Formats: sequence, structure tokens, C-alpha cells
Amino acid sequence: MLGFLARRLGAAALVAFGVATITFFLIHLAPGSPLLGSGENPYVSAEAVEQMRRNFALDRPLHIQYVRYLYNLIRGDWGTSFTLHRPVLDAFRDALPNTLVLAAAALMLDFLLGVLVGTVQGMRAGSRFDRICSVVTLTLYSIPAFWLGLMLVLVFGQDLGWLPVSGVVDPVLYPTRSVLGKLFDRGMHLILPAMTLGLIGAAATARYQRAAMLEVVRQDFIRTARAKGLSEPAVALHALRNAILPTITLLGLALPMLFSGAVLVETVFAWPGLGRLAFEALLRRDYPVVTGAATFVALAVVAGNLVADVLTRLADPRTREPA
Amino acid sequence: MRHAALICVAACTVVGACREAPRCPGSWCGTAVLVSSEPGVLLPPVTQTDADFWVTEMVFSKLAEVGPGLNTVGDAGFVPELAESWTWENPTTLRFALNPQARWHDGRPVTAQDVAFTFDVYRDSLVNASARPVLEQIASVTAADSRTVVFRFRRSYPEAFFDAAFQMWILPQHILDTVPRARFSSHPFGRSPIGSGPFRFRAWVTGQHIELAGDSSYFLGRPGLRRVLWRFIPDMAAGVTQLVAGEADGAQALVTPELLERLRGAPQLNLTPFVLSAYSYVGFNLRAPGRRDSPHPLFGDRDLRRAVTMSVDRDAVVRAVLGELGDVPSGPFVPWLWIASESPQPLPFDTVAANATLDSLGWRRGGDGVRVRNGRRLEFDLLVPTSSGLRRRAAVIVQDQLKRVGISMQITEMDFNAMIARAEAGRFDAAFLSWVSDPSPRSIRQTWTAAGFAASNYQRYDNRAFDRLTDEAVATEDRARALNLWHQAMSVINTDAPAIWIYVPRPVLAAHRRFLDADIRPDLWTALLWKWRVNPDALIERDLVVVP
Amino acid sequence: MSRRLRAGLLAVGVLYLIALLAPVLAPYDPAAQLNLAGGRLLPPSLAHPLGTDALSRDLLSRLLFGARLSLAIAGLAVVVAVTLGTAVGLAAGLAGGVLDGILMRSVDAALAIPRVFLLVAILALWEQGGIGALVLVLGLTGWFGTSRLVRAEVLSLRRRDFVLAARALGLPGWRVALRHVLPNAVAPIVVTATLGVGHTILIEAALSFLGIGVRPPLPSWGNMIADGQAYLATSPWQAMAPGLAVVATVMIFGVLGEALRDTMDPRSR
Repeated sequence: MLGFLARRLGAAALVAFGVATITFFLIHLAPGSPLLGSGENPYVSAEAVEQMRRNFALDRPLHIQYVRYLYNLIRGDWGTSFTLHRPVLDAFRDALPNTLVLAAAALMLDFLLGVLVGTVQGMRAGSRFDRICSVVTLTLYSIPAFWLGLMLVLVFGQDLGWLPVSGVVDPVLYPTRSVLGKLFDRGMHLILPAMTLGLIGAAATARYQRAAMLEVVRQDFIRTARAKGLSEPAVALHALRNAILPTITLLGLALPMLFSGAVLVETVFAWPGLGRLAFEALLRRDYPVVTGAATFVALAVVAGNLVADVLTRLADPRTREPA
Repeated sequence: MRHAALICVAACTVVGACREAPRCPGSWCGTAVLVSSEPGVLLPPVTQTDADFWVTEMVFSKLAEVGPGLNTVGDAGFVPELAESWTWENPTTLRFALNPQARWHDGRPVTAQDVAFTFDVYRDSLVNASARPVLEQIASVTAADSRTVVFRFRRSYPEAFFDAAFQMWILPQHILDTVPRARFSSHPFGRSPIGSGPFRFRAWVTGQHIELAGDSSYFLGRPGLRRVLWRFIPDMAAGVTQLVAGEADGAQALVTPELLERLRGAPQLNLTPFVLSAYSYVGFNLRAPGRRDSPHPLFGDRDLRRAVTMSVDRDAVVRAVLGELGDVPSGPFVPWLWIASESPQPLPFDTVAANATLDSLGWRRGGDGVRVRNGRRLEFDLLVPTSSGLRRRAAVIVQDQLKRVGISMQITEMDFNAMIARAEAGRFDAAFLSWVSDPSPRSIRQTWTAAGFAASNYQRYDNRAFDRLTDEAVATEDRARALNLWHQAMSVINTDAPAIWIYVPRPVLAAHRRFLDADIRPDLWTALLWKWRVNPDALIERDLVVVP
Repeated sequence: MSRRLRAGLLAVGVLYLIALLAPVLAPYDPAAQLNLAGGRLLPPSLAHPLGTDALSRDLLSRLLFGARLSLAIAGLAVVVAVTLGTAVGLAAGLAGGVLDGILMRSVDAALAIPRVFLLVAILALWEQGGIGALVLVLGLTGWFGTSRLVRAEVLSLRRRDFVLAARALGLPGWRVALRHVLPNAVAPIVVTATLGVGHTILIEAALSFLGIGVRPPLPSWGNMIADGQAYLATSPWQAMAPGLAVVATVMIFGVLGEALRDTMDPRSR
């Protein structure tokens, strides 16, 4: 196991390095030069811009910038954002927890709902429930995430007024709330964005899980279990233990997918997460933030793959190395 | 027995966890929730966006503030702030006496050394203060003693006092003098400022809100509001939603007619249109894109520029995009600036004349309706910033109007910074630009004279007559004569038509009815926010909240 | 032919027919600002079945032209992606050895990066591309799955008699690929392509919504939703109509793809 981990970590580091390199050059070769801040101010002089270029080492040749960039990265200095006027890592530190919370909530919804529905569908293949669920999952899977978010905002936020449609907490009352009150506040704000990301994921997971269940249900050991007189839920559990494998692998890859979806959902709900931060930085050519975000995404992807591999190995005795 | 104890503990925990904070006792209550976009930094020399200015104004102070009449000439129109009084020792020496009770939010007194330090920071090229060029005429700022500051000017000019007192927010030397100037703008102070203004900074939750607390020991009197929350919104539509729903109490909003309708439908809001020193225009690049030594193939021709200008129905654009909350400017200035009275008119909307001019220049209609001359189509690209919904909408309308005359205008939307970068480099045909300026016509020169080549004259409009006239106008003490000179300059620029003056927006102040003394100063709406207070008979839930 | 397959083919046919005939079907010019003074944000009516937008343009016409653009972009992008993926998969599968190793490791690495992130990065930074660049970038980022699929097919077919026979006869590799291997691998390619059109429409809508796909004032379902977002409170149909169009279209391609898979490739059931 240790040998396996070591090899995978080595490969992971290589991939991260490769992605960071690609994004660095991608961004620096793109048209458009960086400027500090935004705002319609007539007093920005050419001399000031030149000074800014010197401050951010943009006047050095590209390969020198690259070496300096890698060195800083390893040292923990990920640069200072042009538009946010603070170190990139600080900006990430503020934004990342929001994205993680959203991703975790969406993932939970995705996994629980998807596995449940997919399992029941698999056990009752061909029934009316199965057919209805298939249509529902197909529909959900075809909905653009950002549009689903807007529709949820329309229905729950505006028409019904049940749920808040933006922000992470209510800034007016939050500091005065009790512990439970604070949790409740955060939870209410989390519902709509998490539902948007999670429902679509759940639809995909359900379809996947259904197919996996169908594979397993056909096999002998299930027929044996049924013949032995086990109740349906027990049989389902039996089947599930085998069918869950591919789904777990899928989830290991979910983190990078959630990050992509997060950009859209965070934009719709004004959720202050990493996705929105990275997207806005891209539009403003905020080099340090973009390369930092790309590196971070690479690390997340690599971590996700690693987790998926490890989980698969742990769960499936067939793939383990001989003792 | 054990079960009972457990239940008791659980119940007490739940009850304890449910207990909310105490309520405001009553004499000083009031929480205002304001909405805006998120500021970039709250450090006075490097503030740039509108949101930066609005919040900074509440936390920091200046030597003197301009009065509601916005008279920036001389010193009669100013209100003391950090400076208690001032005297002109001679035409180029100005002496301020600081208010002895002025304090920083950490308790230390505000001294003349702070003022001298602030001037040094603002003038430092490493800091890159946006106001740096404006302070050029100030030769030195020295502290005669801890309460007296002396400004020496290079020469005497009408708005000398304005530059000395108004351009700088005073910084605390005891906190900032050890910060290396090259790293000034990214110092944590910019996200956690300590000023001397009526509101203390409390918290900045990234991406969400900023919390300010009224400083009960503010030397000019306790502000009416105890707590101010700035909630960040992605765009004005979201802000209006919050205002209408009662989740927000106030905002300066640049609204479209539809948003205005929604605001009008909210009975709890008072809407006050006011004026802003901002004008928006479609500026033509007079030089070839990327090659500034040659004229632009299309817009180097003045008659063509005039024809394009006359093809745009600016009134229709303003009505469609802003409704009644906008005006068409008659030059690069707002209609309520003193130079605008009886100023010459810009080119009229006249498609007949435009068509005739284009025909006479040799541009004939091609197969698809677009005019062609020597195989070249009459087509150009307009850069529009994605940050401005108004300009995006207006651009599409202008595109349609130009199409009817046979001119093809392509719209390229891009990020604001990216657009400015391209405009600066001269790589554009036309750009939809907008400036917010001081309440003084001097800023026109930053954009429209040769001196502006290093500043914001991206189009490279270069007319010596115009430069001469504006130079003279700025230096003239006699108001009537200055007005005449400005009018002559306006005639010159309107004849040259380097840009189409499209709109001047009238923002609307939306404020909850329960606020009394809700005054605003048009150039910076939060300047008088510290005078706002809540009607004691109309307190709502959030006014009664006291933050521990 | 199963019912689902017939229904799917019919539906896709109708979609592309509508897209093709958009100039004829649309009651107005999608860019025409009909009445700036009083005709903005009108609710659905007989004259304007889906109402008008903030610049008094007819929404139904924009929807139809948006269909044209979205379907064309998705179709072309998938063609690019499938062609490229097939070529790479064939090369890797037939050549084997080092070339195979390099190609497949690159594909693995590329699959590791979230596609949307990559697209956003490229399109946000190079904004002058236009529709052509959009199609190209969508195609260039969408071929990885196809290449893996084709390679797997090739590997399984390599051992079959007819391929060995062709090789024994001395036929060059590429001829073996094109004449003998490819026809057998068509089934999974077609399925992937069909499902791919649906995915691409979703991605293009997302990019247009963010402002970096199809740029205004050209109508695309994605940017129509973005335009409608500002008026969600007062005129919700502006955002609902294009969204429903996207959902319906993607569903149709999904049904067709699955029906094709069930018919042509019973192994993967």
C-alpha cells in the first residue's frame, strides 16, 4: 500500500507541476496587460503603470518570471493580487471554505439521493417508479446548472420568499445570534446553491447507480439470496455493496467537477467562493490569482484522483496487490 | 435519575444556544444596511472604484470638506473638518489650525505631522496615488507645530484651497510610516483601516459585507447611526431586489426605467434623484490602431466623424436606457457644471445631413446595406466594458441606429481593465468610455488636451487651440471671462467631433423612509451619511440589534 | 427500429429543420429594435408569442435564431472533436508501443483538467475569436473521451481474424485502419457523438451565460438567459423560455443517444 501511495503521489506532483506550467504560459501569452484595480478615474498616469509593471516583475523576460513564479510557489508565496490588493493565498483562504462547504453539501445531496434513487430503480427495474425516475433524472441531467439556480431563485426566493437568495449569512443579525441561530442562518443560505449543484449531480449518480445495480442484480449470488428468502431490503444491501464501487470512484472525481459547476452557481447566487474569484480574476487579467487558482485546481484534481484510487483499492479486494 | 439529568442538561444547552443577544436600550439606535459592489481597498491614496471612495469617506477625514453647493473656487464654499480654521498668509502660503479634539480610532490625536506625512505619501511615485498629478502645484507641506500645518504653493490659482484641503484623506503616520512605499497598496491596513472619521471600521467579510460602527467620540459630534453594514451585490438588479424586499435601507443606484419602476413600487423607500459628475461617450481613436504616428483610416477624417455623430439619436438612447433619469450632455462635462450654462450645442441628430456627407465622401451603399468605398467597408469595432449594463445596452441601440445609415459597428464587450489597457495602447477603433470627475471643469484637460496623452487622452485628440483656451480658462480668476473661454473651447471640440457625447446619468438615492436628515452631497453620497439618524418612532428590528 | 429510436431521430430532425428554417419561421429580425419607446419587455401576446426583451426585440425570433446558432456550434464542435478523437484513437491503438503510451498519458492528463475551467480560461483570455474560435476550442477540448473509446475498440478488433488477415497480406496500417477497423468501431463513435452534442449545447449555454461564449448582440440561448436574469422579478419568461429550449434540446439528444446505444451496441447495456 505504501509503495502504491508513494508512486501515486509522485505522479500527482508531476501532474500538478505540469498544469501550473501550462497555465502560467497560457495566461502570459494571452493578450491584454494587467492594470491595478478598476474604476473610472482620469488620473492614472503612464508613469504609474510603468511603476506597477516593475512592482510585479512584469518587465523581466518570460522565463525569468516563470522560474521566479515556481520558486515562490514552493516557498508559499503565491503572489499578490492586482485587483484585490492582498496576497493571493489570503484571498484563497477566505474564499476556499465557502466553496468547500458548498461542494460538501452538494456532494452529500448528490451521493445520498443519487444512490438511494438509483438503488431502488435497480431493484425495481421496469416498474412504473423506475420509468418515472428515469424521465426525471434525464430531465434534471439536461438542465443547465445556472438556469436551475435562477429558477430556484425565482420560485423559492422571490415568489414564495422562503429562502434567501444570496450571501452566506445575514450580516445584520448574524453576530447577535446564538450558536444554533448561526448554524440555522448558514444552513438556510446554503440550501438553494447546494440544491442547484446537488440535484443535477444526483441525477447523474442515480443513472450510474441504476446501471451498476442492474449489472449486479443479474448475478447468481443475488438469486441465491432471494432463493434463501432474504427480504428485499436485505437483498438490496447485498447488491449495493458490490454496486457501490463504481459510484465511489465517480465521487472521487467529483471535486474537480464541482469546482467547474461552482463557477456558475457561485455567480448566480453571489456566493463568495473560489470559483467566482477565479472567474473574475480571469476577466480582469489578474495574473497571480489566476495562476494560483489553476494550480489549486490541479492539486484538487490530483487529490480527487488519488482519493478515488485509494478508495477503490480499499473497497474492492480484487484490485489489491497480493499480500 | 440519570436520564432526567441528561435531559435537563440537554434542555439547558438548547435553551442557552437559542438565547439571542440583548436589545438596544433606546437612546442611540439605528442600523443602516447599504448595498454596493465590493471595494477593492480602503487605503486613501490608492482608492479607485466608487465603492472604495464611498466607504473610505466614512472612515477617514479631510482637512476641510466642500459644502453642498460644490463651490470649489476659493475657500468660502468649504466646511471645516480636521482643520478648525485657516488663513492665507500670502497668495501662495496657506496655514491650517487643526481641531485639538480630532482623534484617530485608536485614541491617538491627529497631528500636523500626520498631514505632512500624508502629503509625502500622496506624492510618492511608488505609491501611485491617483490624485498625485493634481497635487503638483503644492510645493511643500510642513508642520509648524503639532496643531499647525503650512501649505506652500508654487503659484497662486483659483482652486488652490480645493487641492490642499479636499484631495487628501489624512493618514495616521504612527501606523503607516514604517510601511515600505512599494508595498503600500497591498498592506493589510487597506483591509482593516484606522481613520479619524465618524465611523470606525469593524469587519470586512470578503465577498459579503463590511461592517462599520458609529464613533460615539467623533470630534464633530456623534453620528446618528450606530451601525452601518455595506452588503456587496453583483449588480444593481440584485441591489434593487434587496431594497424592495426591505433587506437593505439605502443605495446610490444608477437605474434603468424598469428598476426605477420596481423601486417606486416599494412604499418604504424615499427616492431622490440627484446629480453626479459623470459623463459617458463613444470616443473615436484618431490615430491608427497600434500605430500612433499615422491617422486612423476612418476616424482621422473629421467629416466622417461628424457624419457618424449626426447619425446617432442620443435622446432616444437616453430615453431607452435611462428613461427620465438621464440627460444628453453637450460636451465632455455634466449639464449642471457652471460652465454648461448657455454653452454651445453639439452636433444635432440629422440623418439627412449624415447621409449627404457620407455620400459626398464617396461612401456608397453596398449589397448588404453597408457603405463601401474603394473596396473598404464602413465598419468599425466599439469596445464596451462588461461592467456597465447601461453602456452595453446603449451600444446595441447605437449599433442599430448606425446600421440605418449604412455604417456597420461591431460591439466587443470586454472586462473594464482589459478595455482600458487596449485604449491606453491605442489598439481600438472606438471605445465607450465614462469618467467620474471632481466637481471642477479642470479634469476636462486630463482627457481632451495634449497634456492628457500621459493620462486619459487615449484617443489622442490634439487641438492646440483647444489646449490654449482651456489653459487660459483654468488660470482666470474672473468667472465671466472664464465662462467665455470655456464656451469657445466647447465650440472647438464640438466642431472637431472626436467623440459622441451619449449620456449623463442621474442616479437615484433610495433611502428608507425612517431615516431623518438623510442629506447627500452629489459628488460623494456618503459624505453626509454621518448626519443621518433613525426616526425614534419608526425603529425596526435591525435598529434594535446591539452587537456585542 | 425501436420506438425510442424513431422518436429520437424524428425529434432531432425537426430541431435541425427548425434551425435551418429560422429565417423563414421567425416573425421578425432578431436584431431589430422594434419600438424602443413603448415596446420593451412586453409580456407574451399574439403579436409577440414570447414577448419582447429590454431592447424591444422579439423573443421568439431570437429564440429561433439562437437555436440555429447553438445547434450549429454544437454540431460542428462535435464533428471536430470526433474526427480528432477517432484519428488519435486509431493511431494509438494501431501503432501501440511508445506512441500509444505518450498519447494516452496525455489524454489522461488532459482529462484531469475540468473542461469548463479550461474553456473559461482560454475564452476569457482570447476574446477576439468569435464563433469560429468558439467551435474550435470546444472541439479541441472534447475529443479525449472519443480517443479512448476508439482505442479500446481498435485494441479489441486487432486480434480479430479479418484484421490479422489484412495485415498478413501486407496492407499498410492506415488502410487497415480505415477500411477494416473503422467501420466496426462506428457504433460507439456515433453514440458518443450524439450524446456529445447535448453536452456541448449545455457547455456553450454556460459559456454564453458567463459572457465568454456567443457574445451579444448575437442571440444564443445562454446569453438570452443572462439578459433575462436582470428581469427575473418582473419578466421571468425572458429567462425561462431559452432555458426550457435548452432542456428540451439536450433531452432529445440524450434520448436519441441512449436509443442508439441500445440498438447498435447491445454489449454496453
